Parts: sequence; structure tokens; C-alpha cells
Amino acid sequence: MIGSGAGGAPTAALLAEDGLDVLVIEEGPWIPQGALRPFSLEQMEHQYRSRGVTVALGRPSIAYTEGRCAGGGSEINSGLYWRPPPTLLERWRDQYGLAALDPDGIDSILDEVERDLSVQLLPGTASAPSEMLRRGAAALGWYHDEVPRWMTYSDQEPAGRRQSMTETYLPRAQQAGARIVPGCRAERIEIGDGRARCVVVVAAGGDRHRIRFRHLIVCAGAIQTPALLLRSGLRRNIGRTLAIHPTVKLAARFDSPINVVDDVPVHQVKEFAPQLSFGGSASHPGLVALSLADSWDKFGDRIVDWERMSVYYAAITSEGHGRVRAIPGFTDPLVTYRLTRRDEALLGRGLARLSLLMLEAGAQEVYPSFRKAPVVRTRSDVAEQQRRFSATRATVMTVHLCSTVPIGGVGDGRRGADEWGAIPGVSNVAVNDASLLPDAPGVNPQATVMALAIRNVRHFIECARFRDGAS
Amino acid sequence: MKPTGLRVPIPAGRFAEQLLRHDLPGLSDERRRQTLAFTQSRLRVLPSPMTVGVGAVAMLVGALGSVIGHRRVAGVLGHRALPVVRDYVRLLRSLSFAYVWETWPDTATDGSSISASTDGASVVGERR
Repeated sequence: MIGSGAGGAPTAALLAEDGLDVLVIEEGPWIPQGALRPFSLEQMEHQYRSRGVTVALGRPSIAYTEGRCAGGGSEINSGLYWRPPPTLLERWRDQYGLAALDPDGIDSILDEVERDLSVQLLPGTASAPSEMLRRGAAALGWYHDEVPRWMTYSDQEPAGRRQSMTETYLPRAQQAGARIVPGCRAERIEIGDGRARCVVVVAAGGDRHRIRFRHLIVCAGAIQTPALLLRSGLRRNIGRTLAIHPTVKLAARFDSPINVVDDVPVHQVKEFAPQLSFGGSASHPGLVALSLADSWDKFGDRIVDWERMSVYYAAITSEGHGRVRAIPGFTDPLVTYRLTRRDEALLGRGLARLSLLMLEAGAQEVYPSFRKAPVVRTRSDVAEQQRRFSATRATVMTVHLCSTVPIGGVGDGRRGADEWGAIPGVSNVAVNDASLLPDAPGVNPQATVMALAIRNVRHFIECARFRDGAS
Repeated sequence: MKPTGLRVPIPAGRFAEQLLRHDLPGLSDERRRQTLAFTQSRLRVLPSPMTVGVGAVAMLVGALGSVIGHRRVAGVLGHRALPVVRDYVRLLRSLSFAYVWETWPDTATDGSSISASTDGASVVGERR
């Protein structure tokens, strides 16, 4: 297996527990959960790809983040858990010809995932930035809720301990005999006669090795999985349908200290979901400064008040599309994304509604993150903000990337993998991570990724054509 | 062709320094040195296709600076969002600001230290 994130970790655990000989190659290091301050530059240094500086080129370019460590994105994300809505799974089944996609079956897998990851609500009260989201939404009558997290809480760790893959499925995989090798990068797969023969890896010291296997399951995430397949000559519908949830941000200043430097709000506002959602971001002072940077000449003097400020986002379900391309001679893929006009307009509307929500929550001032943005103090300022907004002036980001090797039924012309993640044309390679999602789910995708991964690996175990070769 | 890592140094040094002086004129020499070192360390590990694009823009801006002066170029580009170059300026500015305020939260808008905190020590944890 290649990759040990939210798709790879449960895959490894289930395969090993079924008695298969499992080797997991992980490019990043193994860093125990909690060893680094969440959302800090130090964490970016050690657990993010390119230390957190990764961009999908376009107009505007969209900054994104990828985990690069044992456990992948589960080690660094917010830990917020959303079941995929039943309507989403039904739509995927009907739209993409996924005859075997059974929403009830996914639901029962999610019950297991929730037990395994200790998914639960906060035992106490939410943080002040989270309370502001709740208060603003309540004042406007907008639907909002506390989102459960994969966390355990104890007297020793009242803020919670994230039940990421290094805390849950990876130790389970190891206990069942799986070997996990961090610091080892998969360079390419060698393929002949319709079968993958070996994978060429680069070890931490720079040495290249060939690893042979019966079956290869690629779980390197929505950017690195298609990049590896493309480098290996597997191109059909690979990397062409990148989907994301683009976000725009603002900083809101209140009359008393609210900043929490190393956690994110647990409330989200879903009144306009799935097209538009609101939530809170990490808000250490460096990130507050970043959110003010686009209009630094106007907003910069507020940075001294960072303790009274928190950063919030508006996320949309985009109709645009991106690509992941492998360029000969380059280690990393080229990632591009193009927003549609509808996306750009929705980002503007979303940011305006978020400003309104913050004012209703009691914010004294709101600082939208785009060039030439006004300071928002009143409802009329919100209208002015929306009038001035342009996506090309904004800092657009995403942390949710998916759909670069989308599953599809036989008649689906855009499918990169079959219904169970197997790659057509090569008999022993499958994908089992966020790449497989048919399109962006409109909610935090980790639960969906894990449920599909578990469904697929169970099918893999049961399937006779794989069983024949298993050892 | 076997993919290889492309780790060409991006020639951002002079421009990055002048942009930092322009944005945060009160930042002490030592903090500026640390901030620029951090920025360079991040530029060194950009994804390889980005390295080519950012490197090309950095060379262009650097060449312009050597003709009309880095300080003047930083002053102009710090205010005007010219196509292509604006993403380069935003990248440098983002890296610098994130580093400065995470490392020294008691930093004023102009980069000067509000309290006489010691260089190099993060006080974020103490302010929770």
C-alpha cells in the first residue's frame, strides 16, 4: 500500500486483520498525535507537504494543504465529523451509475467508524469563537449545529485528543502484523502485460528500491495518487476531475478577548448547505495577520488586537474543475483549478453573509480577506463589501480535495476507477482514498472517504479474483 | 524520464528584504534576519513546478530591482497588484506575516515590538 491517511489506514488494518501480508509505504514521518502544536508553523514544517505552501494555479490561484505524514490529513485537520447526507449518496449512485453504492450499507459502516474514532460532541461548553458562530446564526434564524469530532476527552487532556489514524487504525494494522515504513516515497509503478510488477521507491537516504507485490492499493490522497498513476503511465480519466470546496475568509473583532490559538470552532452554519457553509478557522496571531494581509494598508493597524479576533470562512460547493498533471522531470505534480463565474459570485455572496453573521454575533468590526475590502461595521457596509468583492482579489483556499480518480459505473465516461476503486486496464492496482469520491460532497469529507475505503477493502477481501492471489 | 527533485534557490533575497522593510519598517534587524531566513526556507521546498514559476517572477523582479533599485520596486509592488507579480508579493508577504506574528505576537503594525519581549522566543502559549 502507498499512503497511510484516512483511506489507507483503515484499508491496512482490515487487510492485515484478514491475514494478508501488508506493507504500507508512507512518504512523511511518523509523528505521534499531540507532539506538535496544532495549526502551527512547526506542524506545517513537519506534517504538511511543502511545509504548507501548495497552490492550485488559476485565476485566482487557490492555496491548499496536504498532510505528509503517517496518518495523512487526519493528523492535521480540524477533526470535525460529518456523515455524508443520504441524498448525496443517492445522487452519486444515480448520477454515476454506482449500482452497488448502498446508502444503508454506508450508514452501518459509519456506525463502526464513529465507535472506532470516538466521535462525540464536546463534553463542556464550546470555545468563544465557536459561540460567536452559534450566536450569529441564532440571531439570524439560520440553521446551525455543533459538529461532533473524532476526539477523546479526559482530565489530562480536557481540550481533547484527536483520534487520528496514528491513534486508531494504524496501531490496529500494526498489531495485526502490517509493516508501516515512513520516510519512503513511491516514485512510479512499473507495469507490464496489464499487471503492476513493482513500485520504485526512494528511501529516506535517497536510495532507490523496487518493491514487488501481488496487489497494490494506492492511498496517497487526491493529489499524490493521480500524480503517481500518471507518472506510471496510467492516464485514462486520471487527474482530470479535481473537485474542492473553495473558501474565503474574514477576521472578526469583538469587544473582549476570544482568540484560541490552537483549536477551531465546533459550530458550523448550514442554512445554505450544501452550496454554502460557514465555520471557523485556526486563528493563531500569524493566521490573523495573514487574514488581514490583503488590505494591510487599511487593516494592518488592527493586528495588535489579535486576542479579540478570530478567523472565519465561507466554503462553497464549486462547479469548477481542476487538474493534476505529472510533468516529466518534475517530482511534484502541477495542480490547476478554475472557478466558474457562478463560483466566484457565490464566494462573494457567502463572504457577505458571513460578515452579516459576525455583526449579528456582536463583532465590532469585520475584515474581509480581499484586496480593497472595506472595514465592515454595519449592514450597509456588507452591501459595499459584496459590491467590491472579486475572487481574483481574494485569498481563496481549500483543505478539501477529492475526485481525481473518480469511481463510476461501466457506462460512466469520466470514471477513473471502477465501482470498487480498481483501475481499469491493470489487474492488480486499486485506489482507496479521497481520489475516489465522484465529486465534492459539500461536507468535511473524511467520514465519506473512510466509509468508502472500508466498503471497498471488504469487497476486495471477499472478491474471489483477488482472493486467489492473496497470500 | 525519471522524476527528480528540482530545488533551485529562488532569488528572492533582496526584494524580499525590501518588501519586509516596506511592510514592517519597525522590525528589528535580528527579527528581519530570522524572518527572511524562514521565508527562504519555505521557498526552497516549494513544489517543483511552482519553483519554476516563482523563480521566473523572482528573477524578473530582481532584474528590475537591480536597474531601478530594490527599494523602489518593493515600494511600487507592495501597493499595486500587478498581474502575475501580485501572487509572488502575496506569497512573500504571507510567509513573513505568518512567521512574525506567530513567533512574536506582541508585534505592532509596523513590525516594532510592543513589549520588550526577547527575540526568538514564541509567547503564543503564554497568552492563552
